[in-house]
Amino acid sequence: MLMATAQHKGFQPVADMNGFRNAFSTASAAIHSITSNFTQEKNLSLLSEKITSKGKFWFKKENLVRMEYQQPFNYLMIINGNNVYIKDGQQENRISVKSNKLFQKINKITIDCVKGTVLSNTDFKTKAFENSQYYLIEMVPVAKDLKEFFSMILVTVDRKDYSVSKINMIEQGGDNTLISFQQKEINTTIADAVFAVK
Amino acid sequence: MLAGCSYPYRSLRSLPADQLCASQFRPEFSNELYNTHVNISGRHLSGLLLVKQMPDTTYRVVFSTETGVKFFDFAFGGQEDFKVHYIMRKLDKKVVINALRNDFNFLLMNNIPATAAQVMKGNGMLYHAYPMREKTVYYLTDTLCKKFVRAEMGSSKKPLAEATWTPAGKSSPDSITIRHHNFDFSITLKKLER
Repeated sequence: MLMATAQHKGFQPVADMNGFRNAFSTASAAIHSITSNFTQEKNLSLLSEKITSKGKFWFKKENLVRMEYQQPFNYLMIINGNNVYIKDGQQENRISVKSNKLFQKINKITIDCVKGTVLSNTDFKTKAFENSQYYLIEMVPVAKDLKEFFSMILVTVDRKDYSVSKINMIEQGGDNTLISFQQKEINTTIADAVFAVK
Repeated sequence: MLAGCSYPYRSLRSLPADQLCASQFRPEFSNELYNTHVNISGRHLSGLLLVKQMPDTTYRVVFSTETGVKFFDFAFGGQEDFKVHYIMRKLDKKVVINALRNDFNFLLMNNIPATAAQVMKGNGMLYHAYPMREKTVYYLTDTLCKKFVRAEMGSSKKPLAEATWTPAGKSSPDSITIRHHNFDFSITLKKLER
């Protein structure tokens, strides 16, 4: 597991942070939608245990996200602006995140990652690293409520199209949740109905 | 009659019976993941519950959301008997921890000696009673002690919570339900194939 060090194995610090920020922002401005499969691995380090789940992911600008877990359980989460719809196999739930600042911040992480605006998220102190294939954005929470959940979030960005390949959320106790995106399709047409919160 | 309904344990009769028999219905967890639904005070919560037996024979019980946010991580058994490895700040209240501790102790049959303190008969069933912290837990079977009916956690007078699991004993349960009578709190668990 990648640890909270100034340097990440296989990566060098990005020398020109402003240049990277501009390039990332310009390239991701061209991304209007993403459809992909995802794998989520929850690693419980002290238990030597990994909980793996899989599903499908949809993103459409500006702030529409659908995450549909399909294995080994069914769970659907749709973020549509300030509204969140959750269907957990037994019940449906609709939440307005306006009244929940923490939920807003957590939603902002996902949206910022895919929108390429993650570097300007003031809830985190960010640094960037690179190798020949990827950029790695290290996000250390500044906000106290986020610090309870994460010691660091590492976002791996594909150099070829600036799309997000992995989001690794590392907790204070050393456990982490790694979401990797596979079979990404950029800018395919996605109907708004996919993100309907009804 | 009213007193009988309100205080069902008062009508039970002690009898000499096989004090070892209830332990055969102890759930045997090794490393299971459950799809979990919690209803509490009109609110609904879902997530994943992992029950894992560690090499030192203690059990770890970890509850997280489907998206990976951890609610709690408890250890049961061993020298410390119970340990909170982690609990989300919002849930970090003595009353919540004690309620969860009791529920899982009750289900895991943790700290339950091989022999029942007392075996009683009533309502066409055997009640195998064990003291657990300041409460009593009862494992209810048919009169031949061949079939597990349910578990109850109660005061000396009346049931406070009940639990059922199937299959009972010799393996990890496929489904588990815990329901409280004194406040609106229930947990249902369905085993996931991993």
